[in-house]
Amino acid sequence: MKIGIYSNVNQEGIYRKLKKHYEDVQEPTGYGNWYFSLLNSSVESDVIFILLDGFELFRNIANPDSELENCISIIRKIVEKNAEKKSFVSTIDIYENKIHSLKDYNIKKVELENRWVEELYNISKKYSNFFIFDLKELITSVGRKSFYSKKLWYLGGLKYSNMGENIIVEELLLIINAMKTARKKCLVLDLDNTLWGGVVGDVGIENIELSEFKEGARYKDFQKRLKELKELGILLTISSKNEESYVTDVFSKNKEMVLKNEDFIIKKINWQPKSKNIEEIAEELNIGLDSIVFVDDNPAEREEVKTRLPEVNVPEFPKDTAELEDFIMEVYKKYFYTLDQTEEDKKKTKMYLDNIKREEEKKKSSSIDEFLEKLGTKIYLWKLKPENISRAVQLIQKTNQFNLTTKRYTEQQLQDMMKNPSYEIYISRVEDKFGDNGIVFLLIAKKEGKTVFIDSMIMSCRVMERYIEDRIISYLESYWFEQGFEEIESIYVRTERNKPVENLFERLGYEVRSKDESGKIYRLKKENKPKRKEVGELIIE
Amino acid sequence: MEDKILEIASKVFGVSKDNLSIESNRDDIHEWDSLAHLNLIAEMEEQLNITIPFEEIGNIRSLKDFLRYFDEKNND
Repeated sequence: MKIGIYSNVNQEGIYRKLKKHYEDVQEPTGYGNWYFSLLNSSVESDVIFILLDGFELFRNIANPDSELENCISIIRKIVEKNAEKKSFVSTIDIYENKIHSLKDYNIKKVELENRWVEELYNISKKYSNFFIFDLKELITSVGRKSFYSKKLWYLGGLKYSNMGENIIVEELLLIINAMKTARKKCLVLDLDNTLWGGVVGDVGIENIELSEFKEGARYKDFQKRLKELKELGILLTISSKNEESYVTDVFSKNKEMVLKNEDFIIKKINWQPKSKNIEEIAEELNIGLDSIVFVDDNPAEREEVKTRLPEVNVPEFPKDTAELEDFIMEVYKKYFYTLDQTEEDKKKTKMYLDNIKREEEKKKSSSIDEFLEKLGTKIYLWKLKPENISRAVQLIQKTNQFNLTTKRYTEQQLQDMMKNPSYEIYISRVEDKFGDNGIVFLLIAKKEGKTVFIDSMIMSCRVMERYIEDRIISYLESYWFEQGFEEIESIYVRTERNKPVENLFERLGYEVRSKDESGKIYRLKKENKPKRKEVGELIIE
Repeated sequence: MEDKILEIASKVFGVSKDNLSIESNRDDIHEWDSLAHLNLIAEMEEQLNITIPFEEIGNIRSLKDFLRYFDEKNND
């Protein structure tokens, strides 16, 4: 993933600093005319960062309003021209020293800055691949005196101080990291002295520290940020050494609690080692230990988890609880930084809770068939549309278990495939009487001659063992064979995590053509198409 | 202090500390170009908590030149 940085001021320093941490950065092309190369030649980089200095943008410009319009229309063109690439454009800070009377406030500056953000915001609503890089916020949070350097500006045309450059690079790296790696999925939280101040068993539910203002606000602010994490689709769970009845009372009776009982999908309130609880949580949620972040104020508990479960992410808890909110912001950036959320993310906690109800129903049923019958599953299948692409990428990037080939395609690669007539990409949404599971299935097929290759087949683990894949594959086979294809080939590429689908295509009635340590190749000829169990209803859209 | 200076220079130039000495100068170190020079000044000012006046920045030719600012500061 090649990163390109474009600017109206010299960003060579940022380029060099970034390069030390991330290899694939394009050499800056000069900065006098920042948009020239973006508009007039094909852009080599996969991700475009445009970092603009507000003061330089309007230096000696007689009509700044029309200059702003001009810049925005250029940005629109760049974004349209590179719609398949992610682009980030900075907010602007107009830093100008000017001697004037107190009455003579320079309102123009503020107007330009605000109009700029508004225009960027409008573009970001229209293009899913366009993001605002909040440079102004970065500058404001440390202050202009530290962020800019007069000395470096006079000496070498560098606007920012060493510190300023480091802050920009740090933000760039966070974004790059968020694009490249899957974020963590679940946060395991302690209760006493973590979600609230004090030990509830000692002080009672009304006396824990938790309030809108003053001391208790340390914890309430912390809870507010945790609630926002939950809205982003992060699963919140509890591991606490406590009496269950106290905890139930806090949730039901303490009015200051921002987080409610139903915000947590699993609560392990017991006296067993926390590492044990975390293992159980990972197992119940069917996620890897490395997708878990554990937050606890007690260093002994953190140490116990770190030692027994080294894969779990255990950030240091702040010694000064005034920093709790800053701490959770750091945790967010480090482990859960999210460029964009899908519909599935917003509903995630509810989906997991629905799943718990499904599990209960399953236990009550006398047989699997009876359970599947009761579920009343509806499978909606359609060819991938642009509006579903971010969810498709998410499935590709995050699914480890039900993933036949574990090819981690990017959004751009998917877009290319959508344009290529040799490829067909299907996705499917699954509903049942307990709720909507969202888009949970993806299949990429490549057609070559008389053969269809199943390049990728991915399903979210929350709908596994419901014969959904059988239903979809049966339909697609019939569809392809009707189109005149004569055989279907599929492969299984072994990874550490995809054991659950090791024998999937055997079960689906395919013939194994070859196998070795790395995986297997399967084939199904038209005349051998098997009859399979048909569960639920399939709706083609 | 010399060690700290070498450490900063090593980071700025991306050159191993073993290949640097306090005597190293702009002619010896290929990576010490004009941009790296500015970067070096900025890092030294920030990390050693010294100030190098604008007029003197061009006169800094070798790593030992930074020692002077540190000594001046201590003599205050």
